[in-house]
Parts: sequence; structure tokens; C-alpha cells
Amino acid sequence: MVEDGDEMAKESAHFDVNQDEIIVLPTPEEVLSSKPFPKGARVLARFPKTSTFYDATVVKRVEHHKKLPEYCVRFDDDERDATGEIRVVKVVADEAAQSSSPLATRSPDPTQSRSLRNMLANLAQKTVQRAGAARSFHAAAAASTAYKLPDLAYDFGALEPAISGQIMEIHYTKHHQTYVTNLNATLEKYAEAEAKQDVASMIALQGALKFNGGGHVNHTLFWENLAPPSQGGGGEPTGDLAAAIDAKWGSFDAFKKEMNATTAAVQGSGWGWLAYDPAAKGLRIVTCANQDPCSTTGCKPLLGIDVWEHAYYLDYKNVRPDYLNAIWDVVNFDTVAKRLAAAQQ
Amino acid sequence: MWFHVPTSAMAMALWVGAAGEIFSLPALQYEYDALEPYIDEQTMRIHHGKHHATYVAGLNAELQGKKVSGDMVALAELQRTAPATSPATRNHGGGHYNHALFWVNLASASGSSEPSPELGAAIEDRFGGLDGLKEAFNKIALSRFGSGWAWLGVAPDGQLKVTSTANQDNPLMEGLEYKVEKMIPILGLDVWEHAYYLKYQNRRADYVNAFWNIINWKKVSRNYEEYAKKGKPVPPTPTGSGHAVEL
Repeated sequence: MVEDGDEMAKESAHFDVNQDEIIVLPTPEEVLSSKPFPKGARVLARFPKTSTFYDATVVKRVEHHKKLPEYCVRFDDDERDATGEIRVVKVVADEAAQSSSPLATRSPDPTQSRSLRNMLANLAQKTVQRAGAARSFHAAAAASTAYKLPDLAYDFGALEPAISGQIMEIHYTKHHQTYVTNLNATLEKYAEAEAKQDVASMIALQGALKFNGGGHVNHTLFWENLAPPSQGGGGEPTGDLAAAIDAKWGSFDAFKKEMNATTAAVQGSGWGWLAYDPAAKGLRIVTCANQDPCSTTGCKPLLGIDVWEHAYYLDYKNVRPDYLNAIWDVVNFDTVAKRLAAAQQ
Repeated sequence: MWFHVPTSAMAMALWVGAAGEIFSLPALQYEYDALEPYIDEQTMRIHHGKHHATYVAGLNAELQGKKVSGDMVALAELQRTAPATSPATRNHGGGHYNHALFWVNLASASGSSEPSPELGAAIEDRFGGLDGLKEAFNKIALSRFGSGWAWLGVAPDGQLKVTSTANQDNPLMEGLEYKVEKMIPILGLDVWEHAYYLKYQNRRADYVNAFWNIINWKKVSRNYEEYAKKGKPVPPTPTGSGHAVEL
């Protein structure tokens, strides 16, 4: 049984963990006397300035004179440098363990492995204390509130034929994941700037915050306002939502037509939204560029349609209007109705 | 020969047909599959035959009835004032110019070319060589968020520079509401997702790396020496003249 090392937890949580799901980090003596991981070795390594371990690939080991060696590694799905390669990050050798455990082969599961990762981090902390080195784990707090991909309520293929499983998988596991990863990285840099009271840097990071934070917010709303017909997707709105649409546009069909025309006309990348305007106390159709969240229009998002090309290109190529016609088969009007009710409060 | 010439404007347009449009979609100088494996055939067909064609049609619709010559020197000169003219001129005029220049600057990887001595010297001077240019250009291409283009061009001070623009803007345009290095572009890379998604999906970095294999340095060198260095926007034609090759 292991204790969750999460400093943020109100009470310590205990978990039963199989022995083959525990990785013991090496002591400094073990590091110095052991064979180096070869180039290409798959490891779990602590990402600098966090208390979380991620999958990474070893590039090389760097020996130092009077301190522990380091590994140059590339973390999976990390930022790319100017040449397009995943950037190289240095980790101290006693914070990298060979990933022979089942943990390494599973893709990151936000709900399950976090506590196990915190357990590993706790072990790392003990190793550090043993080595007598002083490390700052102030970023542990940041790591435990890091943003993550929300769970999808349906399979990738569930929205076919309106949106293919191929698009859903890439859209969720690549595009949305990248926004989450980059949001976390941006917030970490922002925290560092805040700590140094470097206001210029904080301001310089706001673009990245808007892109990636907006991307995360928008896509989270998007997955929720879609559903396969078996889970209530498609059909037409009812109740208060239907009444509000009729009041504004005369009919659901008239609303759909305007929503499609307006959204199709977005130049480049962006989103179309059915939104609630709190000032006018009514519904509105708004569009946003890039990943600007709906909130930048002053309105509350009810239904979002992603018209970045990645949202439809593999299925519909350049014919955005066909995508817009098809997506109504998988719109989750229950979610839209709930959002309207919440917005009106 | 005797023709009955219809007098109504509508009938006139129908009778004159495609020849009445101001601009036309230029033909590619190579087959659709010539840029494989770096840009796939399907992307080339859709990118040229659908996306670019739509910008040409949109520009023609916007310019209907106006006295604009359909030659490519005119298209280049129209860019400067496009934002001030109308959103449609900016979008479709930019789209037509950007894509026309893009196709001219590409060639099959088998016909490997190099920058001319003059352009090569400028690249060496400014970027330390082709690798340095690649690094600077790729960084720009990867940091353009959303849709847009990455550019290599000649700044007003005569220096080579790199920059990026959003959507169908280009650095010839005046009055853009965001920061762009002022320059006469000699080489552009489309980083709209439609330019790479079928083959590369989200992996824009792989596409940007691949681009360097299919650059037609003869054309880019000509763009540099005969136009940009002389302060003139590049007419986006294979011959560098005003006349586009008609489809």
C-alpha cells in the first residue's frame, strides 16, 4: 500500500498498488555505478520544475565532474524547437527510470495514473533527501492543478458519418492534447515570470495563453455539445431553447441556415457559436477567429462549431458547407439547453 | 461572319463566357504528382483546382465591372491597397496572388536547384547560409497560429528578412492591423491546414521540413534579382512577365 504524496490533498489517500506498478528510483550511488541508459531507451523521467514523471526517450548521458550525471531526453509530445524536432531537456540521472512497467505502455490516463505519478514523485523526493541535495518542489502545486484532456463521453467513431472516427481521434489526441500541453507549459512560464515580478514577460505570454487556453476551453465545450444519436445527438431543440430560437429567428430551420452561412464565412481558422448575450438577454450567432474563446465577444457559449480545417478536411476537403450541413445530426441539444438555462441565471 | 450581339448585360455575360472574367487560374508548370512525396498529388489537385480556383472566382466577382487588367503585374500591384479596398479584395486578391506565387516557386525534387550566386551570397550574409535560413523560416512558419503564410523577402533596406501573415494577407499589403515585416516577398509557404492536412495531419513541422526539397531556386533567384532587389513586387508567373499561362 502506498501513500499519495500529493501535498494539495486534504487527507492522505492510500492506494493498493501491485509490485510491478512500482518503480524504484536509483540512489546516487546506484546511478554512478550502473550502466548508462543507451540512446533510444524509453524511460519515465521527472519533467523539470514539476513533480510529475512523463514518458521520454534518451538521447545521451552527460557525465559531470562533482555532480550526478544527466540524461538529455525528449519527452513524448513535448514542444518542438525551430527545426521541428521535439526539444531536448536535461534530467538528472537519479530521476529517470527505465519504463519496463505497465505504466509506460499505457497512454496517459488523466483520471487513473495521476495518483501513481504523485507516488513516484514522492519517491523521488525521498531520493533527493537521501542524496542531501536541496531541490525546489514549489512547482508541485502547479503540477497538481495542471490542465488535462477531458474524457470523451463517446467513442471516436460514434459520430459517423457526420464526423469520421479518423478525424475525431486526431482532433482529440493530437490537436486538443497539444493545446493542453502548451497551456500547461505557458502557465508554468507565467508562474516563473510572476515570481520574478517580470511584468513584461507576463504580457508577452498572453498570446500563448489565449491560443492554448482558448483552444482547451473551446474544444472541451465542443466535445460536450456533440453526441451520437444513441446518446441524444441530432434531432431538434425542444422546450425553452426551441422557444428562444423561434423567438429570434422564426424557426429552427431559419436559425440553422443563418448559423451555417455565418460560420461558413469565417475566414481562415475559427469558430461559429450560438451564444447568449447577457446584455441583450437573448440569443446571438457570433464567430471568433483562431482559438479566441466565445467569452471575448461578451457572450456565453451555448453551441460551438469548429471550422478550423482540421475539424473537417479529411472528410469534406474544401467543402466546408457540407460539413456544416452534416454536423447537425450530432449536435447535443440537451447540453445546449442546459447551458442556456445556466447562462440565464 | 455575322453575329447577333445581345444587348442585355446578362446575355452579354453569358455570350462572352469565361473570357469575360478578369483573372484566370494559371496552369501549373508540372504534373499534380511532381512534388511527391513531399506534397501529395491529392493535395495538389484540391489545393490548385479547388482552393486557388475559388479565390480566382471570388476576385473576379469582386472586380466585376471594374477596369482592372487581368495580367499578373496588375495582380501584384493590386496587393498594396487591397486591405483598404475591401475585405473581399484582401481575401480573394491575396489568395490568388499568394497561391500563384507559391506554385511558381515549387518544382520536382529531382530537378534539384540552388540559389543563384547573388541570392546565395545574400542568404550567407544574412542567415549564415541555407541552414540558418531554414531555421529562421521554419520558426516563423511554425509559430504562425491558425491560417497564414510564411515569407522570405527583401525589406526596404535591401536586407533579406522572414515574416508571416495571417489568412490570405501578404507583406505587400499596406495597413495590416498586426505586426508584419515590410518586404517584397520572393518565396512563400502556405501554412493553412489545407496545404498539408491530407498527408501530414497535425504535423506541420514535417510539412515545413519537406518544403525545402521542392523549392525552385531558379525562380526564387529570379524573383530576387529582377524584382525584389529593384523594389518591384514579383509578378507570380513562371516567365516573370505579366501574362499568366491560361488553364
